[in-house]
Amino acid sequence: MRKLTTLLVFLMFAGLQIVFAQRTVTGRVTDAANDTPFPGVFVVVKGTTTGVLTDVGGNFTVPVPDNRAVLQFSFIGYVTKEIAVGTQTTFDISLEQSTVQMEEIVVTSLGIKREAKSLGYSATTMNTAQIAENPSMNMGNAMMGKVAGLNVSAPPTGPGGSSKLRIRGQSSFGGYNEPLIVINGVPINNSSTFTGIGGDFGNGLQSINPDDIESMTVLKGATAAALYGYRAKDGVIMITTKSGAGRRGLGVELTSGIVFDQPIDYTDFQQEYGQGQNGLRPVSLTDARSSSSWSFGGKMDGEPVWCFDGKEHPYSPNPKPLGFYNTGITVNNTLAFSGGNENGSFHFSIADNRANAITPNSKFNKQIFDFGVDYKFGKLTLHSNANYSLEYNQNPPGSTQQFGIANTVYTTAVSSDLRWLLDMPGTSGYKDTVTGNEYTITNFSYRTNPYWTAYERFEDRSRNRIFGNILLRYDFFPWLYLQGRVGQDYFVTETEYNSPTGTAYLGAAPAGQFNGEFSITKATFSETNFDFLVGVNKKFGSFGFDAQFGGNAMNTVSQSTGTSVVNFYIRDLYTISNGVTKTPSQTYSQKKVNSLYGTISLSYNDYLFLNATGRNDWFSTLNPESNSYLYPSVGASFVFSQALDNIMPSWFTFGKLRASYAEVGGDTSPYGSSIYYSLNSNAFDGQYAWGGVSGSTVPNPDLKPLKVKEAEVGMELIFLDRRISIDVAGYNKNTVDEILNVDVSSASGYNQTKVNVGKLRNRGVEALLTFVPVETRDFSWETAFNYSYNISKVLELAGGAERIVVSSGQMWLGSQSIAHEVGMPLGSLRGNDFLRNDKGEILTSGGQFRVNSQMMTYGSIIPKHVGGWLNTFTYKMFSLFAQFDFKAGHKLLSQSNYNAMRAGFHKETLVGREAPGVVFDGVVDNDANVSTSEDDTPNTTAVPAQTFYTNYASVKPYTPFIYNASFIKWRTLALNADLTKFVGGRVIKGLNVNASVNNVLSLLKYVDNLDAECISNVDDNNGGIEQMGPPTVRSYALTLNIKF
Amino acid sequence: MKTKYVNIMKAKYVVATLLVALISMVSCDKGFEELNQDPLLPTSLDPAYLLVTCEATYVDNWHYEGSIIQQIQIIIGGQEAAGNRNLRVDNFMQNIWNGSYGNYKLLVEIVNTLEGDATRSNLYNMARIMKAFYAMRLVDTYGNVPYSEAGLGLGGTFYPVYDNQEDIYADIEAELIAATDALDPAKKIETNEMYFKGDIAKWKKFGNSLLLRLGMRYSKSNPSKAQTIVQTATSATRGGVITTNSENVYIPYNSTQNNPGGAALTAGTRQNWHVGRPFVDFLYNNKDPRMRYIVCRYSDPNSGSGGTIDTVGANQVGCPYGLDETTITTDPLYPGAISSNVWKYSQFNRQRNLRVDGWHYIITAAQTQLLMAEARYRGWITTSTAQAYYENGVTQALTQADIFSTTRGGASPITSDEITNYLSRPNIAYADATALQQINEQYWLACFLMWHEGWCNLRRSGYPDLAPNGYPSQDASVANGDGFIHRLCYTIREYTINQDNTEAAATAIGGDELATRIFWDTP
Repeated sequence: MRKLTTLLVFLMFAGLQIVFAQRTVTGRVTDAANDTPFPGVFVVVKGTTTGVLTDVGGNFTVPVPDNRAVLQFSFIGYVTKEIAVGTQTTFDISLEQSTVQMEEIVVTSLGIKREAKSLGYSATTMNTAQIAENPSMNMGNAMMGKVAGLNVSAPPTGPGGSSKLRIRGQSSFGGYNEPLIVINGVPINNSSTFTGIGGDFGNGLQSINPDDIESMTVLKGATAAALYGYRAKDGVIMITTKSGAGRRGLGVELTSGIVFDQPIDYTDFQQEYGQGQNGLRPVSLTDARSSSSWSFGGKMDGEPVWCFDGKEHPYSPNPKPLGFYNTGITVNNTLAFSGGNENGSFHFSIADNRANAITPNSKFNKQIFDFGVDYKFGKLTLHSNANYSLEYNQNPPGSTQQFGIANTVYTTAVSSDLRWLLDMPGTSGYKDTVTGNEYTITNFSYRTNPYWTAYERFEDRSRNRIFGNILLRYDFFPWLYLQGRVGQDYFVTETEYNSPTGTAYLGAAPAGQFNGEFSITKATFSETNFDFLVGVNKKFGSFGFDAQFGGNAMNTVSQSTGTSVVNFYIRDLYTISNGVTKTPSQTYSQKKVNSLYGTISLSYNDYLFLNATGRNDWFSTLNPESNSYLYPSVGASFVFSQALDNIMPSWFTFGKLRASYAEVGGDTSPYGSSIYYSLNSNAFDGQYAWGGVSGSTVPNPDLKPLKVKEAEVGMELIFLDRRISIDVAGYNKNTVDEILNVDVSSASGYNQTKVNVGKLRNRGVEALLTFVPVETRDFSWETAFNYSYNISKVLELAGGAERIVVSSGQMWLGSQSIAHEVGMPLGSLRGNDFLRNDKGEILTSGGQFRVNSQMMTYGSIIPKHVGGWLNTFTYKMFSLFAQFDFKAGHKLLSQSNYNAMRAGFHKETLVGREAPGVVFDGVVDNDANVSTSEDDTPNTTAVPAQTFYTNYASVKPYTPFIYNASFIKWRTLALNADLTKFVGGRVIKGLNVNASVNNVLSLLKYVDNLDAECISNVDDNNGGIEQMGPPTVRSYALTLNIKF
Repeated sequence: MKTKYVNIMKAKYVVATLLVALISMVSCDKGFEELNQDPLLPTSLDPAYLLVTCEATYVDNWHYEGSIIQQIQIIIGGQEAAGNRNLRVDNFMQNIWNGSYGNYKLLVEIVNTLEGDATRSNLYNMARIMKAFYAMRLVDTYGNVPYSEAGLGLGGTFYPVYDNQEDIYADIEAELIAATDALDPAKKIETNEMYFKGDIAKWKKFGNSLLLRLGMRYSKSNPSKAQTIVQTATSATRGGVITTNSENVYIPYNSTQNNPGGAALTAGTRQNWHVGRPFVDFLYNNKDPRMRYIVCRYSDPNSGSGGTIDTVGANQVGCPYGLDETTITTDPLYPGAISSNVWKYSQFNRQRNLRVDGWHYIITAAQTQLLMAEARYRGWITTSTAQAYYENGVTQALTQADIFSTTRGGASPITSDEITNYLSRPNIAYADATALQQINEQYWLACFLMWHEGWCNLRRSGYPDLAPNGYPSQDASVANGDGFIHRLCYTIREYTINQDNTEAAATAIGGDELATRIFWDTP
């Protein structure tokens, strides 16, 4: 402890040796902001390698060769100061914090730190304080709307759900275009995993505690990410976690927060006709228990009517359609310790997050232990970080029909309240007291009683994960270093789920057995990376030279074993041994990639910078004949404000032009080059072995990884000492050699094959405008707009095809509706329109609309416009943050509205409720030619309401359920108060209170009955298809931060 | 100072060693090829295991075929709309297509790998028979289909052409004859095969019975061809056809591998599936002893067990066709609803014929003997008498195992007295004047749960004489035709992916419509 109190700040460039002292000068450096001593400042005699660090009192003693020497004082984040020595022997120096971007240091690929001004590409450093304003369990969601070019979606999949990140559009035809997440220089697995019922177990970002983040950089383009080669196609998010560096003294920090999540009810259902079918209200309990999925009953008149809970309730609209959902409560606590001495520093934190979702009996708990240390043994530096997380995800909400709770909630008749079930005497509202089976409330048994799903059905996943790295660096000279690093990401997941015995939709088990299922799977994933880097950094007069050379060996192994059982001998005992039919499973997958890479940077007079990189990757997954790929990049940056310093007006603070080009790649999967067979686990009828081809994709041994070629230009301008700053970028990104899982005729025996043809282009601009309209001593207002426009175009598909269909697994409206089409933006939403004549009138048959059997394209599911408007008002110790964001230019298909239409909830179903029914506004085709309108006569046939609206389900027209998915939202309102001065003192060094609201208001949307952000599928290829996810939530958070 | 220096030097060596190790690690791709082989999965399988897969997953379809022959009916539309309303619904029309071709590639593989392999010639010929069987069902469902280029995806044939249906039939005929004749009890017996554990005599009967089925398909369109094929198929020197239930081909579903039909019809929408009225009426009017094991009414059809069961024939009400959830109340026999949209029409017996461990028959003695009866009646064969074949066919149908029993594989509870009785009933007792109708009505009953074959025979023979469905907003081509679905349409997926070939086929068959007739289905 004593050692820790005598701390010094550690810096990487420490340990310079003193040479040829002719005389020494001394002095003291202070921080201009508060006049306190400034330890750790790098004091160097300009043009030499002579230098020292200031001590804990800010004092230094440095030898100088002669009176012409110039002393340079520098510290990261402060304006470097130069003083001519002359005859002076003592110096009093105060350093000012740099306000101008050009002194910013950015963590770039491989963890290499560079000055922002030298970069020939766009790299945005996130404001970590703003991340903290959104206390989402998934820190990815907190980045929403904050970075130009970064499109974040927070699917409403519960607290344990994924956050979907996309940088500069979608680089590939595949559904997974997620940026690489790099923590402390080492990639981690960020893939999402899904539940068996269409739910979301979350992605890799869940394992990170936002409080542990020191800095975060978004490397957007291919050049920025080029050193990651085959992993760089979607950009990189570089996260550096805390290691205590820069701390003076032992510190303890406690952050406690509580978040309340409230489901937002956007439903605007008809309020005239209640539960029932064919215009009739339920007349008995049996009737009420068979018709809760339907709002085709009688006109609601407040008279008592039988309800599924066995009581009579007034036949009136349920004022709280989403009453099934609770208020979600999340409690977050982080305790962090940090400190250091002259040789190093550390940071250790323990976080405990407990989120109870809005869905009953659904929760996500995690504990994260994060440890970071820097230590210096002379010229040898040790740097290590480790992050250990224990995550437990219980019953995340699903979106399939059977166990997707939202399905039943949104289609419970407008006159009925599911909460009545909770008050049923003698039962728990979901379990039949006699049989122990599901208490059904609808004859549509696929709509499971949601309380049964919540309390009898389980699907849990636990994940134990550790990732981290150890880095050793040796500084031979101030201009030459060598480092080696080993990093690993390792996790074990254990997943189990059941289909409870007695669930209504399940078929009966053979006599003497109990129906149901149980499954348990244990999976491990590991990725290890060994890498080394040699770095050289030299200045020759006006020229600077900086080069790194390195290599990386990556090995990833994922494997799983599991067993699922169907039917049981003993009721309600969900174990493997109790299962009747047991089906074991086992998977193994390994992949290696070896890489060598180098980077060279040249600078001239600190205003002209050139950078080139190259990386070669060797893949184990590819044909050995052609498994080596080179990924080059070049970039240039010109700080014209500095080059033309003498002629620039004083209000022109900073100006930079940049341009770059790079080629990067995509990944490939193992074992894709051969065909494999598999045997079924259980012999047929206990005696006949049977098996077949594993999978339905024809292998392709000649596959290459896809390549992204991206050119980028950009400009940064800062005026009036940062009152106004502008950063714009434009890019053109071509993806070639797309790996396409091309659909093949199923008559070939297969469904798909992988081929290497396909070209895609993304073009776009990004702009960030920061403006400080008011800045006084006590009050300031900073406002920032970020905006990005990305338009994609499919240039070519395999075999000259016009389109490939990529979606799968939709519930109701059909099996194919997302396609990529040549000449169109990526992700065409396709479906069947009504059958129309040449005048556009809808043809009918027997009074029912007809549907065109040819599909049409409605538009792209991917937004063209994404942006945010961020405002920070600071008044003395208070700051108020408000964020608005928007997405526009995309379409969605709402299957919930389809259900609302066919089951009598949608307001449009009010038409034709009374006899004779709906006389649809269409025409009757009187000749055999459907397109000609001459012989068509108006439809006069009336169809009873329920029959008419049910026809939406029979013939499935898409058109009424296609929406413009654009929205504008008031995302965040947060008030922060720094109360340090009231309590600050010897014990408490800081006290902050933060209150925030997230998802404040939806200011503009077009989707009926739902949030415009209702898409719960994180896969791009199913992105535009809404299927009954849980409602989005409004969160109220209160966070307290105390520093000791 | 000196100590510190040494420490630093040591560290330097550590780093240098690390560097050398790292460089050597990344500088090559040694072992990559072996690494890229899945260690858990084999790259080939014994072809017998592939054949079992094709035997075990020959799945029937009730959404169209069962409702076209009016044995099964569902009143509600929505997601279940298909044959009950004479609509084109791709979801259900594609079942046979996708279900067949996935296995077809395995059969192609077995045939291609074992061709000329003397040691496994029996397996080779069994695969040829199965392959012909699969192809025949595809033609019978869609007309022109991929055949010569089908199942060759692994070789790069991704977009197969559609072959002419008559040509395919001709090739199937040749294949069935050649393969059946080449089966040889002296060669290796494939005891791992599922239908008969490799029993050659039974396989020959299976092959010949299929050939008989194929020959009879020509009875309307080309009687002389039919006669030739039937004579070949039934020639005693070639091994004969199936005559008794012990020679039936069936899939022995069990508590592990559940009967997909039974599982689906007893799952979520179980309360909505009813027995078609013509089927109920026919059984009841003729005092069919099968009726009480097939048809019933449940007190609580929503529940898994169905509640209490009523199998009294007089209490059964079959479900009519052409009506929907609203107009159903206009049915003169409307029995009322248990609750909204749960009607009191008769259902299938879940404890017997819909058991999830129930067998699924593929080709039976009953069917084969009834075809023999018709062939004999037409004079195409000369053995025995039409009446004897007919009576044997009916007897075999009534004594099939499993289907009428509450236990898996259980013997038929129908007694010989009941059979004798039944065979002497007015409409059932064989009469030359009405033989064709009687034989094919019995075939229709014998195809219970084998709905695809029932549909083929309805198109072929015109029996039973059913009234058209007549649903008001039914498919236009059906409405303009004879009111029945004569084929299923090509899948939307094929139009998307294999467009040119699909469109050419649609033109070749005279339009891709539900009412288009396949080649042997002449009016």
